[in-house]
Amino acid sequence: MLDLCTVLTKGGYVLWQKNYTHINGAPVDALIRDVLIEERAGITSYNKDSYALKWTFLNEKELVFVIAYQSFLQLTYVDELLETTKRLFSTTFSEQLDSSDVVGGDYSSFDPLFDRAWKTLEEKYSKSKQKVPRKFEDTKKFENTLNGSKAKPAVKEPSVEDEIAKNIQAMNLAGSPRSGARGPGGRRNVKSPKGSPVPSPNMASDPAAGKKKKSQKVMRTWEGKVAKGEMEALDYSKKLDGQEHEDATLANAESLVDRSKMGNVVDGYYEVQDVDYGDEDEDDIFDEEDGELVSKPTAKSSGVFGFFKNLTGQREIDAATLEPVLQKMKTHLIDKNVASNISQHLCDSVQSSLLGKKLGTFGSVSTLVKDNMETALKRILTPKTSVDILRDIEQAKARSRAYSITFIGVNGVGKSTNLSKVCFWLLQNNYRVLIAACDTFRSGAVEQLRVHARNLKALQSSHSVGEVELFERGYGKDAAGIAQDAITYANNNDFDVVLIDTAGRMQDNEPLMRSLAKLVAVNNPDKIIFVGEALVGNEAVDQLTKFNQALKDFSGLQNPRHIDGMILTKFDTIDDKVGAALSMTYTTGQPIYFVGTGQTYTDLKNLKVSHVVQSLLKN
Amino acid sequence: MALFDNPLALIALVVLVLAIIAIGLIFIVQKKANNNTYLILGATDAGKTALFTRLRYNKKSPTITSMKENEATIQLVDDSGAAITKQPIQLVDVPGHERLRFRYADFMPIARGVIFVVDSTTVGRSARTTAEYLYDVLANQHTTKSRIPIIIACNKTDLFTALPTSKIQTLLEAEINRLRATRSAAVEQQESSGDAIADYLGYEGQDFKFEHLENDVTLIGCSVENGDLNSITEWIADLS
Repeated sequence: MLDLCTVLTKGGYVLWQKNYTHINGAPVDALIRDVLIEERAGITSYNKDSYALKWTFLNEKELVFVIAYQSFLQLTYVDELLETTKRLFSTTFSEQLDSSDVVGGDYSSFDPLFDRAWKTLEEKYSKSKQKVPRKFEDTKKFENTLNGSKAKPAVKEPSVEDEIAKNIQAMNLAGSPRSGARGPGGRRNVKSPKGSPVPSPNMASDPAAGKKKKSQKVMRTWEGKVAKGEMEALDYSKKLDGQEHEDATLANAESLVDRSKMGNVVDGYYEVQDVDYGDEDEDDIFDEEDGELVSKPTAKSSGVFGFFKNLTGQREIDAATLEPVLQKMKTHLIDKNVASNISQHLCDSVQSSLLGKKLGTFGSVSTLVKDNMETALKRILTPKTSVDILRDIEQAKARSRAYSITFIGVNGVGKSTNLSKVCFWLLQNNYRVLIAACDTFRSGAVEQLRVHARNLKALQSSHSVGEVELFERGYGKDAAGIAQDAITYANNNDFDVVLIDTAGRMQDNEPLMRSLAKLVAVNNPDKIIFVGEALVGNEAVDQLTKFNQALKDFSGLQNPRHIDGMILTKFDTIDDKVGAALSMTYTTGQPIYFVGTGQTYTDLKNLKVSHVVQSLLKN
Repeated sequence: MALFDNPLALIALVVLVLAIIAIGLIFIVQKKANNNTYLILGATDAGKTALFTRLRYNKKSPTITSMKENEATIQLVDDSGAAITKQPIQLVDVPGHERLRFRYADFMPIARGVIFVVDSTTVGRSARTTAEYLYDVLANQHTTKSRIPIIIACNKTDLFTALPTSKIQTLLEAEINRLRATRSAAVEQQESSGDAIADYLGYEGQDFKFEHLENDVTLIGCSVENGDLNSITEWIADLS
């Protein structure tokens, strides 16, 4: 039922592999590219075509174990099989794996071992699942038949009756005193001074009070009796004789009151103690020494060897060691404005890549986590597609058509402003640019672009080839139609680039999202660029996923488009809280083309990955 | 000037200066000699890990997309089993995935040579992405500064769909010619003061050719599948 089981090194070698059927495509390659490299190892399974894949790491030896099976099968034993395989493989080939030459070894002898492990597990699970039909005698129906009622099991009956009897007894005991207690003290509340359980000095001097105290004392024993009765009825364990009973009851009642938390009686009033906040632990738990945290789990290893091992040897990293450090890392990332679920995913991913690794003598867990996180962040932020827009434009130019870029985003993030910055940059490179004013909704949007176009024209020197023109059709019209007209106009008039400005919209506004999807579906622009604020935190994920979802759901196309990249605006305002850059690239997997860093046309920059990573990890 | 009147002080000064220069020279020579690392770069599925296995174990091994670098110190031998380099070389296979290849920059300072593997069968379609990576390697400040020689190994010549080496050269040169125009026009990096402009590859006003570069760039055909790697080992032997 399995299709493939394989053992890989992180370097890219297949150490051992077993195919049970012919494998279509390369599901394992896809797993590595889509999940493991993208730092999404926090998830536990991955579906590719008709395959479901599960994997586990042996970080100590840098191995990956992968099992692929048909995704329609509900195989419950795969996780356990993976763990078993991992254990078996690492013990069987421990010498080869410990040697420096892991790849050179011969692992073909693992075949029968794996088959046996698989068979055993399969049998175990099929057995536990097997359902034998119940005998008729065991069913409820049988009890209702005449035979059944006659043949009612003799063993069960008394116990049930016993219970009922006991319950009735308990009810009687609990009920009778209540009816009798409708006296003076019956509804007395705890706060009333006379009902105070602790006698106060002035109370004792007053004879009347003393009397009342006495009656109250009676009440207490009476209360105790109730408890006793109840206990008797509800106590299904061994019977105790009288004296023991009393003691047990007292102890039990006593346990209901925590003497240390008892209030004080002031002037006969019982005052409930203030809420105790306990000793506030001012120490930051994260300031704890890493060394201490690391040595905890290993402290158990006893003897001289253990001591030396602690001192010189390598320590294995386990979840307990990692937890506090990762927790700290997570809050740190959130402080840097990374969306909280993304920092969780990242920490999970780092954890899965560190568990079981050996830690050198002087290495600390926090530096290891930090190093790992740095690589992970670099991976995420490094674009996986070309960000060379000029090269794309050249390619379109060679086919004598205009290259179109659509700017989308929520309200007020700076779509028009950054569009004009991009336009300025293109003009510097001698392109003929057409700006399509497709924001037909917000008043002043067209005028805003007109001002930009006028400024940009004025900035052009007389001899340059670059040229900018505004394509406008006023307000209230269909944006998709205007964009289409603009592209046709650009193609006819030899423009190189069309920049399409759209109206800002909230990601939850369905009618507007539909119209955006229509604009994209009709015009099929070369690039869809999402403009987002660097100030945004958790919201970034929501915006991007909903925009992407809308482009997918409302397009009506077979292969719907998605966001191709981002522009991060207002980047100069956030100091080192650059988390939005990470949230956005992680959510979409697409690169950040530019960052907006100021008010002028030249304030458009390329994102520097190392700078963002540094800012994110800086304290 | 009183100092130079004393001949003893003058001699002492000269000796000191000479000593410093000597130490510096030794240091530089040693550093040069220690640079015996060869990088295997290239796009995914070009055959980098397979080439690495061939050079190291002299065998074929099934491979899959790498997630980490493979490193080894090896002694290359010729057919008769004699060593072809004076000392063992360090070989590093850097993953070709777009998200992971940034690691190559860490190895550039210690690189003696770069083996850039190209898939001859698909380069026609992926010329742009291949050339972008190659451009980054060529324009790397260490490549230009220490004139690191580069061999472009056109792999998979055993397949009949493979393009000839000369064709691949024209393809890559044409792509880099376009790229250097767009790259120099790109928006500058944030936090840069504007002086860190990458060197312009080749001669301005002329179409890009590999021979215009200051470092040696050679193109050869090879086949890891058939073990046809003599041109690569010879190239390494010439360098070390």
